[in-house]
Amino acid sequence: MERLCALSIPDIHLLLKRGDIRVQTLLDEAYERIEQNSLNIFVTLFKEDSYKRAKEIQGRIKRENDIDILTGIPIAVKDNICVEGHNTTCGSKMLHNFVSPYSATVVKRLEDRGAIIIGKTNPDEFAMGSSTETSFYAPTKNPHNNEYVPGGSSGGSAAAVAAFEAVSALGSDTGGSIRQPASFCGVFGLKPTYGRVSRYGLVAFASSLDCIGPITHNVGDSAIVMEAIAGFDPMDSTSIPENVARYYRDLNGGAENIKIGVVRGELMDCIDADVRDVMDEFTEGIKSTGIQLEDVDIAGFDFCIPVYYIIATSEASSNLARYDGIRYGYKNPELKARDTNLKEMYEVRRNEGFGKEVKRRIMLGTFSLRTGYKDKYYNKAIKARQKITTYFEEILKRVDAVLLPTSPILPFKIGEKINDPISMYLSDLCTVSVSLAGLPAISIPAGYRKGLPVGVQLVGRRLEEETLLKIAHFLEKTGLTGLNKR
Amino acid sequence: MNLKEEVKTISELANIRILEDEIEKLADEFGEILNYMDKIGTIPLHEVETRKGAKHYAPLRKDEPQIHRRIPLKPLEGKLYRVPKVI
Repeated sequence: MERLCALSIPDIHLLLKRGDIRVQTLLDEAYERIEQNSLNIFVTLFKEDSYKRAKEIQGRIKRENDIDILTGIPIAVKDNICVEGHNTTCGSKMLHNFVSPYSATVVKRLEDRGAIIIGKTNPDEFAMGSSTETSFYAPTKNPHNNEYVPGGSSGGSAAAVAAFEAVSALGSDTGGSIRQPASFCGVFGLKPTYGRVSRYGLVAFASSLDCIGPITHNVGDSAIVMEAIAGFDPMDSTSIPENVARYYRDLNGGAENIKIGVVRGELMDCIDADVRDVMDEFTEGIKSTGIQLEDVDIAGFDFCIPVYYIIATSEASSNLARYDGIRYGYKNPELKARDTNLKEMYEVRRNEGFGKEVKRRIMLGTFSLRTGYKDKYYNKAIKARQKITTYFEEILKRVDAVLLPTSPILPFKIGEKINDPISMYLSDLCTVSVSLAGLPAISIPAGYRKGLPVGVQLVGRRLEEETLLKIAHFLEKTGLTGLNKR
Repeated sequence: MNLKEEVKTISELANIRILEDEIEKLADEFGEILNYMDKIGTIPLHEVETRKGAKHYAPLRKDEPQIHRRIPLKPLEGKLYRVPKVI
């Protein structure tokens, strides 16, 4: 089988334009591979709709000379992002039968540009997890080694790209859920500045942290997809009304005069030796390109995890209070309204509809917002968040971007951490602080250890995705990125 | 803090039914997580002033009722909608 889905968006665009391939061929290949791989990457496939759209788009390619670069590109979407008329399960039994009444702004923007959404990818339930194992629809397997997790919560999206089942995918990142799976699957994952990409149509987990972003094979594709989805949206009250740069057109140039801060000190002591090794090798590589480096120390990294989990679970406990099975969602077929009262009905439905981790987080959030505990937990976490943000802002006055590992550990085996919540939470060590500060970051595939991919992340200033993409593109051109399998 | 009692109260507040035989295990797990979360008490935060809400932009739209045109409900009479029976 050919590997059209391994090509870059501009290369596919050229082939389509020249008439060398048809849109249907792209879809055939993607769907065939999905079937053959059996990695449990997709929850729902949009076969019928995709081919219908492909036919219409193929006609347009024939008729029109000037077609958009995203025309006919097969893209996968995480199953917590709504696509009108299709299921949005969030990886949960609670939303097993939920059909989206409208499309998310990001989906609409991609479709308006001619992209084809081929299906919805498996997430951790309600995006709560770091391994895609908490999904009601069974774990997704890592394409590099089927015994390992693909990371999470956008594990399905990252695996879809890594396994060439889609050209690109959308994920969502609350505390690392785009970057960590991108790292585990050896692909690029961009978490934008909070508010840069509309959250309208993304099922809410922690509203002050949630971001949608692209997962791709290369930096150019990240720039193309990001440019399509970014920008102000009146339907999202936290959407930032600022112009979006021409990320793709302006990818080249300017990276040579940049200064990168490399994280050293306390944090690096918590990093697995293999990951540290990749990080060191990557840093040496950057040095040889002439980019200036400076050591930076991000103090108090260890408190970021409790701060993140208190804020995220508090917001989740409020956001997920809407799932009562009344207007939509899971209803227990045996529980008849006449035999019970409303509260009991809620309790039973929520107990049976939510999985273990989701219930754990709702309860933790309920606890930290409780009278008597709020000052000790939630209010303190809000202050600590401010401290983390200010700290990052200060560092980013001196350097243009900060380099650190994406995950402190290599991908782990399916089942290895699922019964140990704290050890699972600790795997978010390098990503949550960036989320709390609302900053953009890109995870870059940087090496391969023990047959598994390792990523590093670059963190940038607020709204400066352009700088991150430029640096990443420069490093890609000099041959520093990628897995260099050995 | 009696963790078992706490778990019962929270599950009530969160509208999640916890079965009797799950309470003990959940209380243990909860204790472990809280122990970890208590780290937050050690952060020096006297000098931090809290910024409320989004830093740069948090507009409000006009306080006028809006009909969500994208939700496919058929109008019944005038401004009323027919919804499925829930109880």
